[in-house]
Amino acid sequence: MGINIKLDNCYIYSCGVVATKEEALHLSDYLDIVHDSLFADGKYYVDGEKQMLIEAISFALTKAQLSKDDLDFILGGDLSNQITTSTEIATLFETSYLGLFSACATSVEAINIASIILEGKKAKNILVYTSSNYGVSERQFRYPTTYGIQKKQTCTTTVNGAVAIILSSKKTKIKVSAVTFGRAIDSLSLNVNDMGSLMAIAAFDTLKKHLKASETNCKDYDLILTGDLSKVGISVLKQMLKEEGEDVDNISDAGELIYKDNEKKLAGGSGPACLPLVAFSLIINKMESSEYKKVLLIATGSLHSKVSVAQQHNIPVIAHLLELIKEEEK
Amino acid sequence: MTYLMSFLFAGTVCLLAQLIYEFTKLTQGHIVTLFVIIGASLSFFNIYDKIIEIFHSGATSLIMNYGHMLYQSAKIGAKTNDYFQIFIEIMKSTSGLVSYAIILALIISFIKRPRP
Amino acid sequence: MTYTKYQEIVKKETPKKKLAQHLLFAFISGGLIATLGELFYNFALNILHFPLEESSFFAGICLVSLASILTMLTFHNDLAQLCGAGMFLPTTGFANSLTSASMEGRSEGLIQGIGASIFSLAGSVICYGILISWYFATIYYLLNLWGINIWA
Repeated sequence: MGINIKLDNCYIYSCGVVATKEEALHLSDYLDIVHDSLFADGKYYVDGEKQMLIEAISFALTKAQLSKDDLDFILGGDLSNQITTSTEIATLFETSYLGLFSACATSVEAINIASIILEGKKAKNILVYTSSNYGVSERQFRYPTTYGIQKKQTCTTTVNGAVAIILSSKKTKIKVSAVTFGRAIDSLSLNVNDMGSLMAIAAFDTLKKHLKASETNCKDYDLILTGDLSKVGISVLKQMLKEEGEDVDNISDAGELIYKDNEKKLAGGSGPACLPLVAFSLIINKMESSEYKKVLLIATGSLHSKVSVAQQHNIPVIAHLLELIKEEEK
Repeated sequence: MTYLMSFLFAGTVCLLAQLIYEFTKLTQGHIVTLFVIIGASLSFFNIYDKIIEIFHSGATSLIMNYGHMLYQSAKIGAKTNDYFQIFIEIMKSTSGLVSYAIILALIISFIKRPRP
Repeated sequence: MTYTKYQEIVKKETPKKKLAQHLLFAFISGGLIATLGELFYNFALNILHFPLEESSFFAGICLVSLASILTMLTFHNDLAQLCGAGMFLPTTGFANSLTSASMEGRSEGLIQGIGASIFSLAGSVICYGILISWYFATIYYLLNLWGINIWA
């Protein structure tokens, strides 16, 4: 029914990755710019987010040796209200813009949609971008940043960073070989303090559907990287897969990796930029050096709002998946 | 001696609030509002006055004291046997603290931008 | 994978709460703030020779100032993560909610930003305090009117 689609015409052309010192602890060699703080050079949080996004996009365009006018589509999304940050950046281009909201699953959703457009040969170069900022999202979804609240140990912290990826039909070393779109699932819970466990339901559902459609098992991949599941969510997902008889040694979580050993960040990182920051810096590098040949990226998101939770509506969750393979030299 | 009594009372009430925060789904805002209501209720039954006599600042530093002060000034209004005096008198004794807190918060927000 | 099995797994994998540490720090920090309040009160009463009501007002505003300044310097939220209820229950919590909410609204200007969001967190304290006091005062008024005098 169109959930899992195999592709033959979509390649990762270049990526621009920008973050701050705290995220760079485990990713430093692979980031394009590392800022001292989440404000970059701006006055307010939103200025920092926009600056990092513009820098990431410039790097992606420069590395691909393309100009703004060579792009056929731009797709972007983030966590700000009505995705105004992404849209304001899109006004700097004269290309058609598709704004997406899927909370922390935005990055993979955007790449998947871009891949289908490229597969249908309706475009040659597509730009996909996403960003996240602690100050912007904390204010909208939780409390003011200086408010004295004792967060629970299972809460996650939004990462500060921006990632821009250019996909094209021109052959490169990294190919997007299949995409699986997830479905929105009612998690039957209102627990905003432990979103990792809730999103594990969606990750499990989408992963099982992909494995069934592609007739593979978890151990056929070199790495399965999930998005924002945090320390708690990744152990829940691994346990759920073990119950189904899968081998779970190659499953990791980007949120846990990015803030490893940082007690202040509680259970780990989250945000639309969390998975792309790890995947399109560290993992792409490992794929280019052939350490990993076949990788799955699963981005998970929880699609609630502050108002809907206060109105006692359950939190919907979603997970989108994409498969990357290393093309052999011909 | 008064220092020890203040320490013990405030510590115990905060311990109780922490237990409620850990074991129920109530947020911080719910718990603070609950304690203000408890403070006003204890004041109605003339218990809070006695608590202040024994524990001094332990009882006046907490937000429960806010409920107590609101009730006491409303009671002054009710005693005059004129119903409108309740509305006129109710915020008189808490106006000092709240006004000062608002003014200081505004001045600080004019000077400083938010930092994480 | 049924929903009940999933719930069992979540319960097993959720890390244990740091209960003892949180309770201990809540007790100590709540007590310390009250002791500080008592210190300021005695200072105003005995050294500055203020009358009784003004001394207790002085103690209150000292705690409020302390909390607001700690919020401005961004130490308050780190302390609160450690101390929990010991920081949000005394008047320091009230002052912190006013200051942090108004600081956050700065990017939207004076009226729509600072002015509109200053009471976004502390509003319920004031609202429900007034409501419940009015309710009890009405009961007292009616009892007084009908000559019933349970307590003076």
